[in-house]
Parts: sequence; C-alpha cells; structure tokens
Amino acid sequence: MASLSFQHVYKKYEGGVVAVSDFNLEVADKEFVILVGPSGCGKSTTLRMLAGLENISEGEIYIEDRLINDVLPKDRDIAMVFQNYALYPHMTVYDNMAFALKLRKMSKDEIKRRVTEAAKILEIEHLLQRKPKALSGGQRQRVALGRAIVRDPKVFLMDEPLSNLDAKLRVQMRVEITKLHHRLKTTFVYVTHDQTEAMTMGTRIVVMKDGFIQQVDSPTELYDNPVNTFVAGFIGMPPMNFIEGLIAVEGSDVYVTFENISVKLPERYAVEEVMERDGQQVIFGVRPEALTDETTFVSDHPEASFVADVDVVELLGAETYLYVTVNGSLPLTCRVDPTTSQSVVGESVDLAIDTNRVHLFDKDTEQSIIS
Amino acid sequence: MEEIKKCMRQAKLILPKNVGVMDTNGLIVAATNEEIDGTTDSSARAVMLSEDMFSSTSGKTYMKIAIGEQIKYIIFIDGIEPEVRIYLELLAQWIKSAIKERGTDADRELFTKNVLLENELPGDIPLKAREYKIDYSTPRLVMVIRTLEDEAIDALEVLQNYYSDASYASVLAMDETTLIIILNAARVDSSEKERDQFIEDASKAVLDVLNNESISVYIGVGSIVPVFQNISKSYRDAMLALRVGKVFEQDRFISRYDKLGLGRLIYQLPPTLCQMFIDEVFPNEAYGTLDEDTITTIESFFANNLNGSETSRELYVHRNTLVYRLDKVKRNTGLDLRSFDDAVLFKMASMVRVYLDYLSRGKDNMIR
Repeated sequence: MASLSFQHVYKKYEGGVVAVSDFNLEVADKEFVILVGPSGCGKSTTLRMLAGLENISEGEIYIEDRLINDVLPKDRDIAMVFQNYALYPHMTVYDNMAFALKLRKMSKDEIKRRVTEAAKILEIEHLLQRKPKALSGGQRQRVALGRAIVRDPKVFLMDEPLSNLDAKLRVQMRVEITKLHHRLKTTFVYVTHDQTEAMTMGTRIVVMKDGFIQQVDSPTELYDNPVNTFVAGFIGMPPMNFIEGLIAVEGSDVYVTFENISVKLPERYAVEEVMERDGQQVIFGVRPEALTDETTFVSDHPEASFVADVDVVELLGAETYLYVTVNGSLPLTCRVDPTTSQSVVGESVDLAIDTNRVHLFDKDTEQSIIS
Repeated sequence: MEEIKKCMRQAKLILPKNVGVMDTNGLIVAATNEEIDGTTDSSARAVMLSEDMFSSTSGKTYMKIAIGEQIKYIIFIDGIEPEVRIYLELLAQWIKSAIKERGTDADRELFTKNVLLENELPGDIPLKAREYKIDYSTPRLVMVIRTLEDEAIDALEVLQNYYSDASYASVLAMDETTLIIILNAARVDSSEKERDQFIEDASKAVLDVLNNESISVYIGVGSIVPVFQNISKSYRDAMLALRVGKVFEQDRFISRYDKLGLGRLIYQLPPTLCQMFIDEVFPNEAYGTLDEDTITTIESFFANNLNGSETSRELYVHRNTLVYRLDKVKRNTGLDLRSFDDAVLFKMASMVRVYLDYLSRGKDNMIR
C-alpha cells in the first residue's frame, strides 16, 4: 500500500520529441487511478516511468516518500500486468505464479503460502497444476493477475490488461479487477484507451492527450464538467454532439443560434464569460441524452426545440439511438427512451435540448467557457 | 546442476521411493523430496571413506558416482533391501548421461556463438551442425536483447524458462549485457504479411515477458534467414537495428531491421558529409536558436501533416501564436515549414543532427 507523487515529470527524447509534459499527479494510498487517452498520448510512457522501465527526463516520482527516479525496477516494490499475459508455456500455473518469487530467492514455504493465498483470492486453486495452453483467456488473465498478487507489491500497474479479451469477458474481468482492488486494498494505476473501462473502474481518471494531462477528476465530474472539447468528446458513448453556434445576448437572456435555430440558455449562462462573447462563435456541446423526442418535454420547451430528419434508428433494448440531420447539414446523435419514442426512419421528428445539461466551449482554444 | 534436478523431477514420477543426489560433502543438490534440497546429509563422510561403491546406513542406501576418474556425487535411496541397488545403478547411468549431454549442450552453444560471430569456416558449418543435431535448413530469426548489467542474469533465466523448448528457440548470453535469441521460424510461410506478424508477435512477447519481471530491455530484431549458416547475417541485422533504433527511435523498445526507415540511410552516411549538410541547412548553428516551445511546435506541426489548425488545436495555442512561431523558425533558419520542400529539408536535417549528437556523446552510454 502506498501513495504516489509525480512532480513535473517529463519524458523527452533527443531531437525534440516530448512524450510526456509536466505531469503532476498525487495518488492517494489505495486509490484506483486510470490513465486514459488515445494512442500516443503518453499514458503508457508515464506508467513505464513509474515502473522504472523507462528513464525519467525531468521531474521526480515518489512511492510513499521514497524518490524512485534511480531505483531499479525490481526494487520499486511494484507489479505489472500487461496486455500480453506472457505466461511461461511449459510451466504449470503454480510455477508461473511462483517464478518471480524464485528469482528473488524466496523460501519455498513462503512461495507456497503466497501462491496458495493468491490462487484462493482469484478462485483458481483448481487450476494450479494445469499449463497455460489448457486455460481459457479469462483464466490466463487471472493467472497473470496472480503473478502480480504474489509479489505483494505496494502498487499494481496495469497496462491495457483486458485488450486481448473478447467483449463479454472484458466486462466480466472489469468487475473482477474492481473487486480485487477492494479486496487487496492496494494502490492501482491502470492504463487504458477505452473510456468505458475508465469510467466503470476508476475512482479517479486522468485524461491525457499528446503528453499533457487534460483533466483529472472523478468519472462523474469528467462526464458532467469536461474542461475542453477533447475530454467532452472522449468521455461518453455515443460521444457528445459538437455544434458550431453564435452567442446572442438579448437583455439578460443568452441564446445560442445555429442552423437558423435559436436556443435559450438557462440563467446560469448569463455571466460575464458568456455575455462578453455576444456575436462570437462558440462550440455548443450537447450530450446525446440531452436531446429528446419525448412529446411532453418538447411541447414544454419551445425555446429549445427544433425539427430534424431521422436517418437511422438503432434499438438497443434499454435505449434507442436516433441519428438525425438538422436542415440537411448538421448531423446529431440522440439517446432516447424506446418506450416513448415514436421516431421513424425517413420522417421528421420534433426534438428538444435539455439546456440544463449543455456545454459551451471557446471556438479557438476549445476550452470550456464556464468552469 | 539443472540437469540433475531435472532427473530428480522425472524420477519422482517413476520411482516408488525417495531418491536424491548430494555432493561429496553431503550437501543435497537435488532430491525427489524437494523439502530436503539444500540440507546436508551427515552420512556422506562415512560413505566417502568406505571402499565399497554401495553403503547402507540409517535406513538408506548410498552409491558413489564417478565422473571420469573422480567421485563427484553420491546418490541415495530410502531402503536397504537388495533391489534398491538396482534403482541406484539405473539412476547413476541416467545422471551420467544427463551430465554428458550437458557437456554437449555447452559445446553446441559455443559452436552457435562462433557461427553468429563468423568465427567458423563456412564449409564446416553444415557438418558441425549435423554433429550437434542442429537442423541446418530451418529458417531462423535472431533477436538481440540489451539490458542492464544488474539485470542480465535474471533476464537470461526468464528467457531460458520462457523458451524452454530448445527445438523452438535458443537463448545465449553473449556478454554481460547482451543476450541472443535464435528463434525457429519454420512455421512461418513465405507471405510478407505472416512474416511481419511473426516478427511483431515474437519480439513483443519477449518485451512483455521481461517487463513483466521488472526487467527493462531494448530489442533489436534481425531478418529471417533460410539456413543456420546465415544466422550471422540475422545477428548483424539485429545489432544494426538496435544501434539505429538507439539514435532515431528512442521512444521504442523494439527496433526491427526491416523497419528502420530514414534512419537506415542517415546511419550509413559519413560524419563529415553529415556535418556539411548541417552547416548548409542550419548555418551558424541556427537550430540551436530555437527554444523548446518552438521545437515542440515543429514536431506537432509535422505530426499533423503541416496542418496549422490541427496543430494549434493540439497544442492549445491560438493560431496566431502558431504562425508567429513558424515565422520565427523561418527568420532563424531560413526555412518556411509551411512549404513541403523546406519541411522535408528541416526534418532530414534534424535527424542528421540527432545522429551527430549521438556520435559526439559516445556510442555506448545507454543500455542499447
């Protein structure tokens, strides 16, 4: 169990490439932190610097109060789980789990105790004498986790550990890893490019892009209050709709206009940061669930309603996605209630925006206008 | 000692009694009952003093084993009845064969190293390969693993365990920081795609298995060669990939000989020619006048295919800031990066500059 501290950490290469820029993060003991972002954003590099598999160009990393910049990876008291399980094909599950401990010249009794204990936690006691080729994908993943658990590390590092699994197993293992975190009460740092994994597993999420931290927050905060269009578009599925609009101020009322539609924003938008943009272009962010075709809501909110053409209707059981076009040029995605929606492909539909759940971003910097 | 341990592991599955092997001082080096491994048997002295090959005491029967002319080990078995001596004699033959085989393994390893380093006469290689039971005509791929001195022994042990099937791969230690994997590529067909995938998977697996044990490494991957004699070529290719990767692909842990790109070209150029090129493109050390923000901007501008809007968005700077920085580059270097020709020149010159920096730093200051 340990806290982590990243202080102004950089990863730079000769020739000017900067993989990680000014990375600052405090991770509390027993926290489950997720680093998420697209390929090349620096999340794996950050994890590898923490693991000692990559040098730190600038800055300092602490595990508890110990500066670990120059500590060998094997002496950092961490354990890693990768996408590739890297199991020893000719060894039994027991020997696979025991191998790292044998390398560290641990006594046989202690090895046996730790392997048995880890196998019990992961419910793989019955598999200990099998070889990897006789295991399913999920079982192999458990063995890979077991190899990390037996080391009894202060910090668990996981780099896309579920990427090799099929969709159904991934969901199952997601739950297993979350349960494991609760059970082991240890600090977890988990890297993924999958925003669903990030949202469902982490206590805190670090969103990265091009080596920079974009936002560090709880899943709910990230979803409800993204600091820029990147975070807003990356977190949430289907992604947020981005509409280029114009701010129009009339007295104390603020409107966003787009495609000859004028949507009145709630009172909380009547603030200086927005009012001073009268006549300026902004990016109007609307999550799919903030667009509804529910007739009562539409008729109750004429100041935020408009007509669109339905291109595609996707029925997913608990919800329905409508892919619509406004004025033949603006595509939008809506998440609606299948029990009330009457939208039909090829016909027009009356939609309304729940303006309490919209976002405004600066068109140039793409940063949120209201924090 | 590993061969004796292996014998004991197999004997455990066959023999109905506990058996073990100790050195002449009584230190048990391997036994079917692993609990007594590493302990000392006080009867060893008496057994060694006895003139007989067999001795019995404390419910056990002992037998001395000579390797060559010298007694090297004592084997023992639970029980003193006459038939246990037959077990011991069989076990002694087994262990002697295993030790002899081990000697052959060492010779085979030395021969393989000599082939890699081109210290064998080409005409001798097929004959010696047959002598050492090496399949001459199997396609192979060589990977060079560079690690820290402190981690090399662990890395060797990890890889030897990962590739425990000798017919699939051989793992050799070349020096205190360099390991070699010679991988059997017989199952790869001739299609470019499959060869590419094979190399990708094999090198990634090595990286992951070593990283998983907290061992940091760089891997140079050679090319697949058709016969054993050509492993020296694959080795040379892997070493070159490692060196070129060190200069031009610092953010990667695996460098493949077949994917070196522009780095392959620049690495072959003489330093004087490189310096002339730099003096021409960046006169008066013009590159050095660019600050860190500007260099980051240039990298991002290139990564975004010279698209200004994308670059300013990516860097969270106003487009005017980007234009200002690009104008500054033009002022300082005379190169307008918005023009494709100038952008190519700048990119190549900055790579050449990295290469010259590497030469001036000294070649072996990193783990690869």
